[in-house]
Amino acid sequence: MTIAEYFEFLPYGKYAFYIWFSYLVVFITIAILFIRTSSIHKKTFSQLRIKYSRED
Amino acid sequence: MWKWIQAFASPQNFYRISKKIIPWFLYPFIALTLVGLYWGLVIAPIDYQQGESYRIMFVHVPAAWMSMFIYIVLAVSGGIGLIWQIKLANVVAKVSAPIGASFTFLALVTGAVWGKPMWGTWWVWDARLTSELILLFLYLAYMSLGNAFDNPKTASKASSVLAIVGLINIPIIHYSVTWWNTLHQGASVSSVEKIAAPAIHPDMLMPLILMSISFKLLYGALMLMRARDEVLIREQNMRWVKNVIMEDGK
Amino acid sequence: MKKRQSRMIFVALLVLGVGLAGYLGLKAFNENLLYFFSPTDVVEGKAPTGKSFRLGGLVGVNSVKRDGIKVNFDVTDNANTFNVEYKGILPDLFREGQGIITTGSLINGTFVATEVLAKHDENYMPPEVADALEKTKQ
Repeated sequence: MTIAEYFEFLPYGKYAFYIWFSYLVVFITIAILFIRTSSIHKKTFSQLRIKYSRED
Repeated sequence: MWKWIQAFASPQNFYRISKKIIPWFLYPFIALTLVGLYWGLVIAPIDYQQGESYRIMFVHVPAAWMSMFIYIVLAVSGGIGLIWQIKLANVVAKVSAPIGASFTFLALVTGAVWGKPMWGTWWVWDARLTSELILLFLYLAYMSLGNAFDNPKTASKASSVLAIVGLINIPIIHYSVTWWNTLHQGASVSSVEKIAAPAIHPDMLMPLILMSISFKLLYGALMLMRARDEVLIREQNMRWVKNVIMEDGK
Repeated sequence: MKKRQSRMIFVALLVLGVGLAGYLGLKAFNENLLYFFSPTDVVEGKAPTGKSFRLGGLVGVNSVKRDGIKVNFDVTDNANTFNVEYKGILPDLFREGQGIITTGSLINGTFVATEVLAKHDENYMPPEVADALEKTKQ
């Protein structure tokens, strides 16, 4: 049994594995882009806060 | 005119205005994606040749378009940064690169997953697939070159030159399917003859258009969000940045 | 000359130089970038002889003969035709009239294939529309 056959119970039958895998990869990649963006934001603010509080 | 552009593109102005613009990208992105996904995965009919499998197109094609669009942004803003030395252009180029690389990665992966059931192979070294892979390497080279210098000015200069040199790859990707025999099919929408009468049924074209607009909005939102933080880092010795940071969370 | 103008010229020269280099490079490697050869290319002697190459064209109508996992069919570009022999799994899209690309070599006029890939066109439509189009053609 191939992996594509294993997922035939999902919508799109024979092609379910390929379609859902594609959409899953897209979803994960976009989620990572947002997570990275927010972690860069937090890092930037905490770094700059430390820098300014040292100066004061 | 010249003065006006420089004032508008001043980092401080950008930081203030971009905050108001981001929601205009983010919420339409979410709405269009939901409609586009529903249309593409539920409403759109099956294809006469490829059956259900062609539904991968609704993420594959927009991702591939974005991979080229963002590269053009890199090269153009790199050029603007080199000639007019507008700081903001360098910021936009720098933060766009990882987003563009992500879309290139998506175009390659979804293409492989589509190729397996239809063509019978995950990958071939034809002109289209190879030039798109080169695009991914160009993005990676651009990002590592940008990180290789301590001085952000030198880094921007070096990576801008690379972006402009690599621009040659964009027409090659686009025309690869016309200039050479490839396994990859020709353009359905994005060619001069096809733009008036796309070789694709309206019920399949609509979700494709919705998803490609949604990906553009996604890029806009992510790019602006990242550019704001990059601006703060580059301008950290300015008084206004200190005010922004110290007033945050109060 | 102002500094900005000289930078502008630098960028313009860069774009021009790269464009020229790219154009010349592509011209030089044009042949190697061809992924497959059509039957007419092969007849005209453009395909490499003595080693394997890729042959691309349409599967001839009424030409597919199956014998277990052995398949025999014609590949045509409507001008020239080659007979292809293949043992193995065919892609889902393989059918008569479909575009395919096959890797192998010519042995005594028959193309002995080691791989068959399907090439589909850039047209997308529901089956009903395809049927209707087919009917108006006839």
